[in-house]
Amino acid sequence: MQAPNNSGQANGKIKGMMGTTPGKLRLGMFAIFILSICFAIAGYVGVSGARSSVNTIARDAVPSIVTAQTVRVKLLQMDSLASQEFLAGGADSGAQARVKYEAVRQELGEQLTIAAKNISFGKDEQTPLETLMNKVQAYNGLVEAARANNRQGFPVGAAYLRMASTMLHNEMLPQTQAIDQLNVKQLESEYASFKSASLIHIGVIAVAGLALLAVLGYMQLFISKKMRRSFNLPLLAASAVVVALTAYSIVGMTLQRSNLGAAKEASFVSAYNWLEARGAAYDAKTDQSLFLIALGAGAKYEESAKVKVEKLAAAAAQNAQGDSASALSALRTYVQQDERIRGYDKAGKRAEAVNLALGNGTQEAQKSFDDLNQVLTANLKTATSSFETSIASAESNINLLDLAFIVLSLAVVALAYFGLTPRINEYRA
Amino acid sequence: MKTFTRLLGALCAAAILATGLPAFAAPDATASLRPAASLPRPMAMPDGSTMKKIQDRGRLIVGVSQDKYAIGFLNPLTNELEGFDIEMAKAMAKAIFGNENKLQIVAVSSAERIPLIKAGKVDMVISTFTINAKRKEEINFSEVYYMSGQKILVHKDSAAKSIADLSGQRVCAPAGSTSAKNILTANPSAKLVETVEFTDCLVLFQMRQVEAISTDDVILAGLAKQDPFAKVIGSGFTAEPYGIGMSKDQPDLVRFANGVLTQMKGDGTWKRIYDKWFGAMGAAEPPRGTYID
Repeated sequence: MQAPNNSGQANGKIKGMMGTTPGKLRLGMFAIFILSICFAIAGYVGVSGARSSVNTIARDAVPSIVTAQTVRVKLLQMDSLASQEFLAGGADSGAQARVKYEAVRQELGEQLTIAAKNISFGKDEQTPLETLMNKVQAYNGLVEAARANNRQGFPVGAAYLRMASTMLHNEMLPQTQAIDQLNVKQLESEYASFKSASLIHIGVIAVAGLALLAVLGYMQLFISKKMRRSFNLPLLAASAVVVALTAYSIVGMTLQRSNLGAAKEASFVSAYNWLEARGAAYDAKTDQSLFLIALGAGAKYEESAKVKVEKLAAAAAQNAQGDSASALSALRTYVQQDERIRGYDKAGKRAEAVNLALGNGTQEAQKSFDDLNQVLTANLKTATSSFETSIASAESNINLLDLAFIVLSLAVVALAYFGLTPRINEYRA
Repeated sequence: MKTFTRLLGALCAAAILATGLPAFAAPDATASLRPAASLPRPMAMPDGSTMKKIQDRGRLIVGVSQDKYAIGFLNPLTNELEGFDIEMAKAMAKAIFGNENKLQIVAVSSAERIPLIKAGKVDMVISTFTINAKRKEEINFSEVYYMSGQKILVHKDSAAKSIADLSGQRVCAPAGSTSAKNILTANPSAKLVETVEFTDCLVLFQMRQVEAISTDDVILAGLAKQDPFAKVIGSGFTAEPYGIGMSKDQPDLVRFANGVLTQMKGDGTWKRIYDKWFGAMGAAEPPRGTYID
């Protein structure tokens, strides 16, 4: 029975206050105080949430996906170089492929270290990464056995190479795929929740800002009518702060939404596609070498290479960012050389086929592959750089905005205090 | 009296079998077309013959496997095709052109051998090609140029002496091959491990994931040459007569090839080639050709 009494007393007190001018001023100040706190909280939570989404997407999920994809590309590059070295035997091009293989192996180690530092899903991400690290050692062992046997002229070297390549495709690439998929899932879920949450946050900030502005406006009118003052400057300043902060945050958060959308839906998708295209290119080159190494029994590698080339063409054609036309043109040149190689091999001109596959001349396959790879790498850089630019813009759109909400809401409270207290005090005398 | 009657019956049956069996025995599946008494001189092939067409073309097209060490393989050190079968192909080219290099080698897998011959894409296939009645329904074979048999490759420290000693042990052979079937026929208790190719078996063998490999002796000899810690054991538990595959439409080429083989077997060329590639398996004599007219 105590509560209704207290409530009744409070209602009576409020009614009493509403009946007098100083009471109304005090209530107005209280309302401004409460609404400023709400405004600060709405702004802080909205901006912090948006910043957290940018961080999760740009600094966690996407780098993990890019790292997993880069590891995938490095593995395929190693496989391609190992098969090229094998094909070249003791020739100079074999020695060059060996040097590149070692460099890529080192780069792969660095990428795996980065991936290990960027684990976000505990065991689900750690287990495939550990498996991958162990398999890299085993893969390298098989490649070394292939190389040693090949240098002695033993055909079993080709079997070791085939086994290494099979292990890479069947046991190692699925690990990178598992890490990739975990992070893609997180990225999609984070981006979907960001898209809906950011609209709600913008709406809540707008409503809180408008409510605060309405009370400030009402108090301005009240003072103007009751006390015959045209403007209460501190209240006017507070209103200006609320208008500016609301407008800036709505524009900033809308721009941030748009920039993050561009980063994720255009740049990231393009970068992912170009990484896929590079992986497919290395894989196709490996199939070309394995086709020649298989000595007439390489039909399955010919079929496999066709699939990789189609995958590469599809990835290049659908890319919004980067020079798709150049990529497709370079791919056509590569495919022409590839067909010439197979033609030579099928006509029994194996030496010509191998020379063409390894040759660096203008009309030779290694050169056309290097050209293709160069275009794909440049396109990947374009998409990656566009992603970084969009993310930097998304970050700058809401830079310090959460802090601004706290500081400026306090300023609104202070301005309201300084604007209304002298008027209240006029009634004390 | 009863015992005497039985003994007499058995003797009579033996006499009938001994005299009558040759008359009713199945024809020799390895018998090929009889060669002419003498071979034409190189670059002087008879007009209208298949050999003349080959001579006019300027090269002999032969299908060989290129992944069998010591039989048909590409030596990465010389970038040349080498091996027993390659030398057979070179001898055929030399007989037609007087130049063993007038040869176009086409790499063939086991499954491609008959289709390529039937399609006329190759003149001959020399590729550890076992002569059997089923294949002879589709193509012609030369006389036997090597009599192979299935044996076992084990680690040098293995105590196994034959397939019978490999019960419960892992024995490798290519999937779907006759060798794989023969292993289980010879020793159903062996654990068969199947791979794509013979060299894949050698990888598993070197990784100690199988205890033995079993296939034709010459293929095993090639594998053993690549691994000094391996040895070939036992005597062949199957017979694999190798012949040169040719088209049924070109009997003159078959007779010519048999003439070349007969010459090689007689003048020591066959033995020289055998010693070069398979000498480590011990001495061998060339198989005698059997013919039909």
